Amino acid sequence: MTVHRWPLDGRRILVVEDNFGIARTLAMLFQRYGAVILGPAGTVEDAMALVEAEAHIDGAVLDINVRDRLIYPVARALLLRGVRTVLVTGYDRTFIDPEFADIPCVLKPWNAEHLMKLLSDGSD
Amino acid sequence: MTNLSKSPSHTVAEAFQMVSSSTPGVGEDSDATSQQIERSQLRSLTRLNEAGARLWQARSLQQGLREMLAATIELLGADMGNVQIFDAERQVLRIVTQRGFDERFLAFFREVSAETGSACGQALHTAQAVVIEDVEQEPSFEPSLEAARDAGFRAVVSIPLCGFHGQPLGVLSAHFRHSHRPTRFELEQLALYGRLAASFVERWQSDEQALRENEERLRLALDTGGLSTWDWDIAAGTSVWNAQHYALLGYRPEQTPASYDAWAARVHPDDYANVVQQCRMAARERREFALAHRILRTDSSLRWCAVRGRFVYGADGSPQRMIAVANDITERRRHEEAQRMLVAELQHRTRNLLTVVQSIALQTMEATATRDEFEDGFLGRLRSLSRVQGLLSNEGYAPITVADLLNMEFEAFCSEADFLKIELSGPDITLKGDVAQALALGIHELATNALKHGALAGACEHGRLAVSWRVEGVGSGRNLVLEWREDGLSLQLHGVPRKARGYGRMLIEEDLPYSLSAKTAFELKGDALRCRIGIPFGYAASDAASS
Repeated sequence: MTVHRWPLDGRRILVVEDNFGIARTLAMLFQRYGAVILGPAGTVEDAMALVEAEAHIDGAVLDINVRDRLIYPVARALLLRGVRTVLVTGYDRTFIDPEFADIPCVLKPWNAEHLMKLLSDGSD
Repeated sequence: MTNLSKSPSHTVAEAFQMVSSSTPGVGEDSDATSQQIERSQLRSLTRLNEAGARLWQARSLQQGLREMLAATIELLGADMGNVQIFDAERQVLRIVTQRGFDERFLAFFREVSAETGSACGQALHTAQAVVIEDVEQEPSFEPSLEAARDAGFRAVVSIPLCGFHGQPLGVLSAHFRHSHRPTRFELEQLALYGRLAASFVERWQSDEQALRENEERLRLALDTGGLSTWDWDIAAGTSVWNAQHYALLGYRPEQTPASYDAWAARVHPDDYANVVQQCRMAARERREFALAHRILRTDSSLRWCAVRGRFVYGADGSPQRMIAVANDITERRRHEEAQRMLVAELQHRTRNLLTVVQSIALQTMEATATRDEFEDGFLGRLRSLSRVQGLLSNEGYAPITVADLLNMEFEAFCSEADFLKIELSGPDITLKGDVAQALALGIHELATNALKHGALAGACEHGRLAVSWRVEGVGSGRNLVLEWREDGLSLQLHGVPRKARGYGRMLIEEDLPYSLSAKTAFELKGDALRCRIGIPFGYAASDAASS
């Protein structure tokens, strides 16, 4: 394992999570890894607006259900742009639309180091 | 079997006398005759014994009676004969087996009324043998003479078949082409034959009755269990459904007769191919099939049914018949689906809750300088979170109101003296689960702050806390507004800026706006603290339970 002090150094990471405490914690932890946080966004609309406004996004952590709505449109837009995306959910993996079967999905409660690795090199 | 306009009473009496009074060998002419009689009696008894043995192997009423008729014709040296069974309900005699009659005769006499004075009817009613030696000489036979001539017989012997309790079961008749008078011992033997035939009929009918009762019980069991049945004769292309099967498919028997096509029309189009394939596979592999499929009724309602069945195969191995039972499992599936959703929701809630706990821990850690401060803040928030979980787990039975949240928080750590300083006012408003959780944490921060540094602090003698809530605005612009007012605060207490309070204010000023789209205002001026939280009503609460 490579020990890197700033594994996400300067990376621009979008955080979408409707619970403020969780969003803020994610942002805090990624900042510790050196990331620049985009958002956090708590609704599908806010997330979509950020995706459209930001020309440069290196990675994204998306909660699948935000305020009882699915984040899929945002995921689709990010994947089209080739942005490394990680889905986060409290539901079982089987509930995820097969369209997103190939992208990493992390069950809550997540492990921040695990998320960081998925965002930095796409592997566990 | 032949109709007589008048009862041939003298013939009956004569025959009866012949049967009852004669003893073989006694009063006969010579020893030689006596020996002859003994020999033929032995022959006849042997024949009776044979017929009896075959009776036990008979696989139908007709087959057994055919056996008895053959033995009777042989015994009497008759030319033709028949056996009729008495249908007590319809009061008719019906020919079940015959020998020597042509179709024309049978078409006419297959079923005759037992009320008429026919030889067979007479035998049935009097329970005695009837002998007509010559139909041409018997005045009472006149109305049926034409038929007798057509059929080609001159003499008739009919004996009744009576049950164990003497009840009439039928008539066994033998016919002769020439006028004939049976001997006494022939009639005596005939009575024995008749008794054997009668016991066979009686046993057969009681078996049939038992079978009918069994079928009735089976039908009752199927009905009670709500099972529907389908008996499909594949070769003939006919189907029989019970009442439940019509009901399952949403048909009315008088409107839609049972058929494969009528069934196929109601199977959900997405399921049909699979159902047919599974049935074919079961037929090929000669095993039972068990499957579930949807039914789309004519009124577009959807039902789920579970089907089990099997095929019956012909001599060539091809399926000839299918028997299947089905039951409606719509309710069960609905229940299972609800159960599945509930488990998924519970899992979701638990995972989310753990993540919330994780973030509270990390955030509290960020906001506190010492381990004691961390423990104090973190454990307090954890307890508040666990209290609101208690309310949430009961949400289905007892909706959570704004007053519930406030009372729960105050009761957790306020003394009776504290309560004297508190005033709560507002209508019953039911909160949605996730809103209740976020708001509870906000109230917890406000209450903790009030207790440590505000109106409820021990050192704050004149402190007062008033919490009021109401709905403001109209239509989609409605807001649930909660106002928290603390007055008479001691300046020394709240004047000290503390890091721990940072978390509480952040929760109210940042978290609630983010998580609930709330608009919040927090103001500390002089000896008063004002906090106002406005949450879009459609998101925060539901009208249904609010009053």
